[in-house]
Amino acid sequence: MTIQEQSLPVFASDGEVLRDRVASFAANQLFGGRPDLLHGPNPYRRTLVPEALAEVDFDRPLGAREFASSRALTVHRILGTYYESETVLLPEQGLAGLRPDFEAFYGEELRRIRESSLSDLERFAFGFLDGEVEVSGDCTPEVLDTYLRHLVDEAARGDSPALDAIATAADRPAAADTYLVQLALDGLTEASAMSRNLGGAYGPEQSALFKVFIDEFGYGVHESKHTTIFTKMLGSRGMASHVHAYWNFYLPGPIAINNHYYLLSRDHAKFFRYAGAVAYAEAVFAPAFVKMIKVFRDVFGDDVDLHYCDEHAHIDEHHGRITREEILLALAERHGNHVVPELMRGIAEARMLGGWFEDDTAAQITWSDTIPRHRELAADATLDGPPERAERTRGAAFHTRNHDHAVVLEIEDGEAELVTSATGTPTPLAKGDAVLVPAGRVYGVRALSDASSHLLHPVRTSA
Amino acid sequence: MSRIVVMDLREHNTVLAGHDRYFVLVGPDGDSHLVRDWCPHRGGPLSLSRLTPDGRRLTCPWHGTKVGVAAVRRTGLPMVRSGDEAIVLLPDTPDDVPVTLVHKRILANLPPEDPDRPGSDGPDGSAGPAGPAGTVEDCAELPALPCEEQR
Repeated sequence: MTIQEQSLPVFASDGEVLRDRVASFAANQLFGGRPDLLHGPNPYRRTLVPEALAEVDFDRPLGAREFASSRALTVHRILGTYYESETVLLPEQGLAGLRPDFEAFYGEELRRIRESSLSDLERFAFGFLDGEVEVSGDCTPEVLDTYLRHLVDEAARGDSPALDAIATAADRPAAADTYLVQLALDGLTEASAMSRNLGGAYGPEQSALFKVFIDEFGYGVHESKHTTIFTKMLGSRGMASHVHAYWNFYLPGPIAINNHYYLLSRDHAKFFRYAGAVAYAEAVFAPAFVKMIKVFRDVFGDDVDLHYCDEHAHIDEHHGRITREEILLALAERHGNHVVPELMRGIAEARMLGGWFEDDTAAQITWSDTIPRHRELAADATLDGPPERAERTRGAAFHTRNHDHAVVLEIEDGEAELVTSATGTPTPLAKGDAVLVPAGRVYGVRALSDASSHLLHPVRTSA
Repeated sequence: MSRIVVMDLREHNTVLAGHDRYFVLVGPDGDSHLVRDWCPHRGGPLSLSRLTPDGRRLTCPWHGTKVGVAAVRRTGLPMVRSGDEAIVLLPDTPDDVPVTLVHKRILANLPPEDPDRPGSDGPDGSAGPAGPAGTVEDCAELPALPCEEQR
């Protein structure tokens, strides 16, 4: 007998109902976007691209192979906003002038929509995990420990595709910044998901998790809080450090992994999966940050404050030990073998989504770094079917998107710029210019002339 | 100490570990278990068994012994499947024991036998003309003894 979550239908409501509720949420004036590439210091406003929702088929949940799909980006942005609506976000400069946004963000109207659709949206975004990750056989604490140690050794020995992409990029600072942007999603609100597991009563393992938590929160000293030292790292790069300045540049893979921790923390039936996931994450963080320090130091020299990475490279040695010995294995010993499959499933899920972070980030860095090459590829591409047309006007709200299949973006009229990273130089494009946009890559187009239009040609790919 | 084996399920469905053999048994919902390829009656190859019409038991090809699927699953080795990758933990398998991954045809994963086909079991799961057989649900948990003797 093992603990298994109750088998539920994919949705309590059908896809159309879910779409309507999510669309109502995204249509709020908070989420319409601003002309700037970065979001201002207002944690309540983030672009949810309501028009992108029209393309989302809510009758068909996300699959494991489409973590970088257009649907995944759209839905995980919304799901992440739902989750952050259950945390306390206040602007550093004070609430003056933002009180209406505060009241709208946390207000009853949006809260009721969230409450009526969060579980279904979670099932839509993460339901595939039930089929994708499976634990079977006679699982004991010894098996659990062997499995975790194997994966931790694998991670320590393995490469980081994203860090490798930085090291080989032509514009290494922009590439490294893209990586930092992905860290910012969690770094600017660090351990918020973890905090949801601090309540209740579950014995010494609860106290062990609290030890990890107080490190994350700097022992009550704001200057030592991990989020604080993360903002200093961003500041040393001249980057913005408010929540969520880089919203438009978060990739679907990194958003998904952040949402996954909220998923496991919100529903305490998934607590053992959470314990597995956090044990894996904490165990692989320390060696990952050691690699990160080397790459960032190579790129930036002494011009970057890496205290945040140094802190993680050190403290996560302890967190890896604490979460393994005092939480993971302790839970298995206390509660019996029947919880071990859930603990192992959490480890497996964290490993899989960690791979998404790496692959998505590496692909974005590589594409953004090779735009001239992708202009050549656009000329050689075989177009397949009628194009989609989009218009931009100067000063209109800026947003980013991606596509499930490769497209050639061609400027039909006017002048525009292609934005593929938060800190890199946008690529100016004139009428007739074209760029190949690979499947999954996130970009935005901003008009440089009073108005511009562009065509998105589907590309025929070899079977 | 367990030994780790990583399988690509697109290429492999069987693990040979020394003298022991395990195969991936896939359930009707797609759930998979790495189970010992060994009938508890006389050691027949359960990978070549067929599901009874009710889908609840496997009929060993050697002596027609019926073995409960749930019981077979309980013999499964610890396995974590993520997509097409499976990480298997082989218990008490020293490093000098050869481990090989192969792909075999697994009849046990085929749909249940057609009860109307000559030679198949009847719809009630009783033994067909294939021969006398023990009908054992749980003997796989007690592999040291022949099934009939346990019953």
